[in-house]
Amino acid sequence: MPANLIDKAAIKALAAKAAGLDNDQGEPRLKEVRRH
Amino acid sequence: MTTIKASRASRRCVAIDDLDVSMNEFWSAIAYIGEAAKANELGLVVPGTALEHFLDLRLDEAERRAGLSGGTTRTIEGPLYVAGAPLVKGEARLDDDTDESEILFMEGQVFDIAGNPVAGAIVDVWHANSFGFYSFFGPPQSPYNLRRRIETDREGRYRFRSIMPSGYGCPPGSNTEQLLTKLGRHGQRPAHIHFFVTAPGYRQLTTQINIDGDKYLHDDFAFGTRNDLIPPVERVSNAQEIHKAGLNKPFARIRFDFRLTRETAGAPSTVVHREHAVAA
Repeated sequence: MPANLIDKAAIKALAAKAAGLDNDQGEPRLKEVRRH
Repeated sequence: MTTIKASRASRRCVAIDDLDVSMNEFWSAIAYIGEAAKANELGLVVPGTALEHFLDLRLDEAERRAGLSGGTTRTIEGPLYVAGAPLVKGEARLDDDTDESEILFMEGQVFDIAGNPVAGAIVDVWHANSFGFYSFFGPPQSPYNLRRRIETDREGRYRFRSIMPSGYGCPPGSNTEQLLTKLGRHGQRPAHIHFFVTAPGYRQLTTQINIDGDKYLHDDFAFGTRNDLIPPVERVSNAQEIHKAGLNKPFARIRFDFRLTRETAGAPSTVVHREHAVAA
């Protein structure tokens, strides 16, 4: 059964952190792709 | 499985189109996955990209919908479990006496959510040494060092003596570390101790406790830290207590109880069948 968590703020924040969007280091293009 | 593959393929096509992914970018990603797989690192990439934590959050939500609550919070298993650790009743010593770091005693009870002790539960525990290495991985250690299965007594109690684990980082130069660097992230984990807790009729609990005070406590690259899994660490320096423990130096003590929920129809299984390292 889908948990329908994807649109929750906490999950969006988790995904953003995992993609490194909370820092200004690394490769912006990879971060953009990872965010998806 | 076919449905999952079709759905993933469809979403990936949308993502490739939305992001205007070039041929070179696409094949670089495929090469990365291949290299990580060859190096047996996918078990590290998955928590590092938050996917393992996300799976836990989904399971939390599924349990909530099934009316389950009150159990100990779960967190990620990680890639370093080895099955078949020695089984001991009630109390165990985990270390092989070769690590001179701080001695740790950990104890507690396994309860059901009504507060009744669960006798005969198995507390399967594993952790890193003071250099951040696990037995069977990294520099050689004695077989099953810092790994045991402890059967709870009639009051649901377990107890072990070990050494304080250290946090650790992804292997330098590994595929995982390379990915994290490109995302501007580090690959460090705070010190922690892993557990599977099982008992007939109860849902398997996969969890960890974190060692309070660690620099990376709330900045775990694997997203494994959860707030109610950080028990206080008591530093014991009282001479009488040290003597009573049979030691000649201060030690650390942690108390942590586990609460198991009953198997319930409609809740997805918590028993995960995944590839584990096998003891040679």
